[in-house]
Amino acid sequence: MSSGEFEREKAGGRTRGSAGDLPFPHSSHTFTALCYREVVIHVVQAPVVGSVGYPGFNHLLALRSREIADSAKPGQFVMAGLVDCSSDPLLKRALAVYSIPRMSGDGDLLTLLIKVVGPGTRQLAALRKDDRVSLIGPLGNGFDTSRAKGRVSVLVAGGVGIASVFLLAKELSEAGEEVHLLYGARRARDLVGLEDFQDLGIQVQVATEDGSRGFRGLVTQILEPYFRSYPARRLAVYTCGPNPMMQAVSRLASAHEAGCQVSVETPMACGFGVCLGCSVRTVRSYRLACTHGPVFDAREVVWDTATEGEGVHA
Amino acid sequence: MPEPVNLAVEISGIRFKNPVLTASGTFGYGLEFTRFFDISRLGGFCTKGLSLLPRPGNAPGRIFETPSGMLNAIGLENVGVEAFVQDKLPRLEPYETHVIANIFGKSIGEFTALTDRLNPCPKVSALELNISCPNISEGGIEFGHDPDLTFQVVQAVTRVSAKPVWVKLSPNVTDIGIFARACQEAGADAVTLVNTFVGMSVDVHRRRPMISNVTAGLSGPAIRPLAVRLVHQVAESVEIPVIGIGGIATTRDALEFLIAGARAVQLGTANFSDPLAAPKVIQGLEDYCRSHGIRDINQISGSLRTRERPIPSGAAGGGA
Repeated sequence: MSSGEFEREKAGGRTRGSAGDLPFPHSSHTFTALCYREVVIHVVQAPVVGSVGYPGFNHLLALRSREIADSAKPGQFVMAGLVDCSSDPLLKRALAVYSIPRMSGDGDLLTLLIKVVGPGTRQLAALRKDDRVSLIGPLGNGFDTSRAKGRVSVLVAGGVGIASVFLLAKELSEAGEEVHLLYGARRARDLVGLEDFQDLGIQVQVATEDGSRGFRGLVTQILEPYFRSYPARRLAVYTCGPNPMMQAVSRLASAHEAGCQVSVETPMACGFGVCLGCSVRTVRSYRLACTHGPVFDAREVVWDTATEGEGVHA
Repeated sequence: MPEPVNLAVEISGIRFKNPVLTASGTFGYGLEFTRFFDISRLGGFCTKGLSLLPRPGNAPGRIFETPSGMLNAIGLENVGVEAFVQDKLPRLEPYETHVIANIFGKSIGEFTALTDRLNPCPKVSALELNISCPNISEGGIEFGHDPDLTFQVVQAVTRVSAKPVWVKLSPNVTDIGIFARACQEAGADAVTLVNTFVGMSVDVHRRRPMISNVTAGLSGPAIRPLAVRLVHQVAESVEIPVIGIGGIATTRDALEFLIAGARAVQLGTANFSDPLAAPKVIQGLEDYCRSHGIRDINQISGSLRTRERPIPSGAAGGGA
């Protein structure tokens, strides 16, 4: 089920460019050329070009990988781990591609925003310039922006979930769409990357639970007024953050019949559709966060407390 | 020109171009890895466990990482044998590697029905019976935990199978040798060991199991020494070939199993963190042979027992 759909979805052109042509040649003779030219998932060792620590145990890691920087689209992710690390930690970590800086002569950089929650993320955050990171990517479906035109895009992020929506904000704002970021966190020091969003010239609102910055309360409280200010069909909601937050955002959007896409996070071993560990309960069946997702239509996801394992994949 | 090295091995009448296979449940249906490397380089691969009907698998909360290992309780999610035969096998045709169909049934009748369905498929080189999945709690018979049932199911399958039959054994038994011998007596052509060790992990904050199924199978380097020892034990007690599996991620790991008595090895969990692990190990085995002046990988297999560790009389079986 899952694997077949995996290939069909890729072949269906949801990823960009060459993704439509999967290498299933009819003779082994043609294999090599097809396989290595058309491959859509890259396995690379990417040098670290910079690492910046932020408050709240957050790190920004800048890596050089032309292959992934050239092909990643908003909402996609990579699996990242140390080079030659085959046992501890055993698995790579799934991390959203945060940004793809396009500085002159540097068209091959990508950044990852890492919140240190366990040994794997701690190792990645400790990397320094010229260290290497083993990357698999880009992975996942990414956000669907095909119906964003002319709508007000409301991006609702919680905590490090902000990492999944920067490329989205950038793409939409560069396309001339109206973009609003609603960013929630427990306290001010857990907010990362605010300046990056402000630099895009989009509208940014912040909610903190302790009131140390912006609105005191939950991010859903600053989302609610949008459904009064705009007709639902003019809104496109995108959300990434803790499950309870995304569940609340989904509920609000659905109550007002506004379109909403959620980017889920689950424990994940491979990232490319074979471990079958990252199942998500949907109204139809179990779906895989890595290949069917991580972005789902909010109406499809069956929110289940059993999947709320925050920090399980550390 | 360097001396040629023979990596080919023979198991159950099949010639494998090298002794490196990939394990069921970690390699999809093979096609998923064609984007990473030419799977024709593999000696072979084992499919995701196939059942008669498609299975949706267990509720989320299926995997959890542990020290040097991972727990999984996927629940044998698979497309079902019919979709495998119709949709997957034809696309595997171009690849010059052996497809080992891993099959799973809840009764002897289901095992033989699966065998019947795969018999006419020339692309399937052999069957691997999964009688040892620890994650199914819906009332199927636990063939792998009873030597008599093991004998019965293996005999029933070998009687109807047109292909060699391998049996994947559970390590969650007191004496795995009894099961390996039961397989041999029932006509199995090879045994694969080991499947995962049953384990469990608890979220202490929420006081819930980390895995929705509560118990799960432990794999990865954490189980490697346990698996090497079981492979060594079984290789000494049966005539049929042993295929070693359990936490193999590197060339060194694969060699450990070969030297301990395995004819070939399977890489499992390693495929998740490094999809290129298997071709790296194949290259590594060739390099090892070359640098050690070994012309044939078969000289390595079982060499611990026969050459490098002559057992002084009376010392065998003694504990440390």
